[in-house]
Amino acid sequence: MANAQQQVKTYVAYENAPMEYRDFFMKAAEANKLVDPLARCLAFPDAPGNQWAVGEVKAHCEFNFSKRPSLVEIKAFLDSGNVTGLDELFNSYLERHFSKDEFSEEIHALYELFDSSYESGRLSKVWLDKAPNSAYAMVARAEYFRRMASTARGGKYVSETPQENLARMSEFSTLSVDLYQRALVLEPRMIQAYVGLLSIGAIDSRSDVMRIAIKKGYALDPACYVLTSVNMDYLEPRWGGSYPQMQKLAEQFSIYLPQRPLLSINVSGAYLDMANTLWSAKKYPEAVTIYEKIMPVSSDAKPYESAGLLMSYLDKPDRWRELLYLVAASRFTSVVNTKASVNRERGRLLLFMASDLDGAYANLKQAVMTDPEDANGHYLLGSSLMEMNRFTEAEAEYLLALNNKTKNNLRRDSLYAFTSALLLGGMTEKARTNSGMLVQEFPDYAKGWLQYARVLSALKDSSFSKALEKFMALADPKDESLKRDREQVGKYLQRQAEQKSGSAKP
Amino acid sequence: MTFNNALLVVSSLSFFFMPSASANSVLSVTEKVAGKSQSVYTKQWWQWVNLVPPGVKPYQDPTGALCGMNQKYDVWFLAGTDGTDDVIRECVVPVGKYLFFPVINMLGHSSPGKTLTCDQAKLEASENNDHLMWAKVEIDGVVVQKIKSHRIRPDICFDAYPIASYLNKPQSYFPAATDGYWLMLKPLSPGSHIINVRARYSNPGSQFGDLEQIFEYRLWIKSKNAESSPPEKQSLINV
Repeated sequence: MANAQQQVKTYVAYENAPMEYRDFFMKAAEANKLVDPLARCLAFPDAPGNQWAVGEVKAHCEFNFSKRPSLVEIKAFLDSGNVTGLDELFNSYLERHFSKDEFSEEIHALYELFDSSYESGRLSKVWLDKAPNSAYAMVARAEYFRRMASTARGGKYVSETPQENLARMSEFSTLSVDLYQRALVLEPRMIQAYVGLLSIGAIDSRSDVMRIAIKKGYALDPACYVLTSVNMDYLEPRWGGSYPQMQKLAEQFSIYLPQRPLLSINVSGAYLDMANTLWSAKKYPEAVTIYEKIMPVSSDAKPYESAGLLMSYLDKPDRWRELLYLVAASRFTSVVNTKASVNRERGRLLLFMASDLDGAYANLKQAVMTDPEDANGHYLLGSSLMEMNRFTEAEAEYLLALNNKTKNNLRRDSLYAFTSALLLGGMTEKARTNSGMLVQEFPDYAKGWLQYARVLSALKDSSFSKALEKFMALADPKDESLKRDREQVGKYLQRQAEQKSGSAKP
Repeated sequence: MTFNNALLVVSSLSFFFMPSASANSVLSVTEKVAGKSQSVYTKQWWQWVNLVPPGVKPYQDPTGALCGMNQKYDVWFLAGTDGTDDVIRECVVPVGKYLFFPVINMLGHSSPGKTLTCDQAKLEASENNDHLMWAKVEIDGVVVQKIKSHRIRPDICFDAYPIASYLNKPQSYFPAATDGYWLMLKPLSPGSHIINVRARYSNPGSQFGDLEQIFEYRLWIKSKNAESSPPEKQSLINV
């Protein structure tokens, strides 16, 4: 038997990809090498078949990835006592929202920094304490309370939410509304305050607050991407709205598309919700059909991501199309901000189907960081590390995967893959222990016995023949994936038998 | 009214109408209540806090409206803050209840993807408590002395999330250890009382190394025959 340690694998990424997709995949892989997220987004290829509006990609990339201050930099302003400078910084972003020449909607993205974290809460408190008359500080603090309201509310239906959660949500909501309103008195153009009021009004069922936010917000900017996005969300049927209302809103702001191409993302709001509803109802082919209709006209990542994930549920999943969608989705959302399930699936396909090892590793590494409790993520990451000949790291990941005994065959597959990693790394005694566990725990698994035989052979343990016999007894003759192994092992055992009986030809 | 102005009003009012807590209100850290050490109550306190998910935690309560939630223990728990807000809480407490609360405290624990040993959890909990910058507690205007002598750091780790249905895998958060400065008060007399707490760590570079506690409880100790809510504030101001 060949020495496993001498196997050297070479890969050609996307070698087996359909011709019509290969160029996209190759260019996406090249773009992923760029460190600057904005440059990467702009260099990323357009998904095949898209008819996105002129300027939409640039606007979308800049909104998501332009360099902006972080909470750390904002803290530095406050630590040095430079609250005036901080106000000027935020003011410059607000000015650009109303500028013709330097238009940007990044003021909203800037306020996204203020979530419900301790850092955000502490920073917004310190800022408001130091600058009690700053409209920008008020909005930052309001954003924090709005996120806390949302955290308290949770994600379940009202009927499933404890009363104390709703009570607490309302308390935070009141704090938030008060601050937004005070900010607007000081700075009537504070568009983010209207976004916040609309959002908190919807969560806390305060229609009076919502009405004013919509009326005055649109009076300030009828084409605000974030305001229309939030408005669209809360017109979904589950919030008491309807698809006709969503379509009416889309028609209302569509007239601004030529000047504000980012609005394209919101135009398909009703269809996106329809598709999501079909998904929830497990009508997967119907959902995919609608997602695919949205893709050519919107750079929104959600249809690509959703359609990609749903491919597995179709009768004949097209895995290359699935990967196309998942890779396309990664253009506008960084791996860090993507759900672990998406990163895992994308990483899995990049690893086992596309042989894009760097891409697979990046996705799987992040998946494990985001969801360290998922054993499958560790198994996949271990597999990608093994393919990159990083055996010690692969071992660590496999060990984490091995502890999971609930997912079908994960422990079995992890033991198998781990044994391969140990063999390739020259750790034959560990491989013996591991493969011994494999055949003991899964005695009917043919490949397990073959793996065990490989290890025993590497250790020059003569009992490897018995392991090979076990493999032959268990291997399904109809299993095409075992055909070559069966042929090789069969020939070997026959030679051994002939030598033993003295009938072998010299 | 700003927070500071509110404190000024409260401080001046306290002289006129509130029964004062005596210097003996505060138990020493070795004294037990209902047969349990205060060390046990620190663990129960965390278990009480973690009965509810983030956003609803007692230490995130902006007004005290939910101060009676899950109060099923031998003592009545009060909460600090998570350091992101200064709060004034109004709370009705049944008469006869000991009050137990943190001046400032920490919890160290495992979490998904980060498994700690008990010693590591204890180290995590103690790090900031070794760097207490200042702490001041007033009970009805009387300053509590020697706050530092009220540090409690149990030797044994515990399960801080025994009932946490909002977590996917609560077992991932075990073990936990706590360390901090706590006060156990004897039952206060019926009527209004004010507990004012200010404390802060100074441990730059450490997580929560700048944690600050600024909270006030306006308590109404309700005797069995008394009204269930405190008198109107207007009548208090006119006294």
